Amino acid sequence: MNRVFKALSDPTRRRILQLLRERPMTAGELAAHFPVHKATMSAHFSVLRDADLIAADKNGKSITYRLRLSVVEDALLAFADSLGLGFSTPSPVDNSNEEEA
Amino acid sequence: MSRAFKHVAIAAIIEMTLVALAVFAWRRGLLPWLPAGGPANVRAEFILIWAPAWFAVGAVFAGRRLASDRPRISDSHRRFLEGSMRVGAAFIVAIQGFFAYVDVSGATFNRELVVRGAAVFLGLWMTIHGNAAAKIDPPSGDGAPAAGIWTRALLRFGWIMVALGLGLVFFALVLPDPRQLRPVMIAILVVAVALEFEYRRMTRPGRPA
Repeated sequence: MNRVFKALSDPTRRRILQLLRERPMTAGELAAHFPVHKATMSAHFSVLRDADLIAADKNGKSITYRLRLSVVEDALLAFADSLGLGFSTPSPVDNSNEEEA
Repeated sequence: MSRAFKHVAIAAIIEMTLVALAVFAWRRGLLPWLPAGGPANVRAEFILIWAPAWFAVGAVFAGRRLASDRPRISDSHRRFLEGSMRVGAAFIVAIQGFFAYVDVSGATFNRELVVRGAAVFLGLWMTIHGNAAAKIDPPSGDGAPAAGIWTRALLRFGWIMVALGLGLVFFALVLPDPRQLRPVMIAILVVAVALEFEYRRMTRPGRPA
């Protein structure tokens, strides 16, 4: 559960989850929504995958991510969003001047 | 259907059928070496007969879903269904065993407590399974819905199941008369049937993904 809390504590990762709610997206499509380095996005994807909040399907060279939330995790996501967790502190994996997504 | 799951289902059906047959044979004097029983408990006998039949219907239904290749269900879906059926088997065997004991021994029991306990168990089971259902991976092959449609639908199913499960636990604990649980159970049954039809519509072979 610690991994889930860690993953949901970052606004960028929460935004990734909100985007994936619409439809599965490739890493490139997701990265296009954020003005951050590719390596930073990879780190975010890795944290989300470790927490089992997203699943990755590899098609050739591209990786498509899709949402994999339980009901409790979905409720925690909504709760974290409503509290605006992580907006005041920089993400531990984000070392760029990332704008809020 | 895995071999382990098949064994669990068949063992449960055989065990419950034998229990029902033994009680009926004893009740009708077909086991003369045993002392004769008293008057039958109609409610207990009803449960004795229907427990293996209900479970057999559920096992056949789950078996068909597990064997489906249009669309082919995912491994996580397979584990989910088999896990549900194992818990269901344990629950229904326990309930039937309890009522067989009541029927044979003539023991009295607090019916209200049993009804409330069963409703709380069912509610918790629905809550836990609803929570986990949202993580089931999409099926593949003909009739498989698009992954995004599947994810959103499963999350919606999950929320509905969790809400119904928690509602059932709440009503089982607070309603003054356990008979008042009947409309709640009927409502849950109606929603479960509606969800099954929605699943079938979503995974109909030949539909565009």
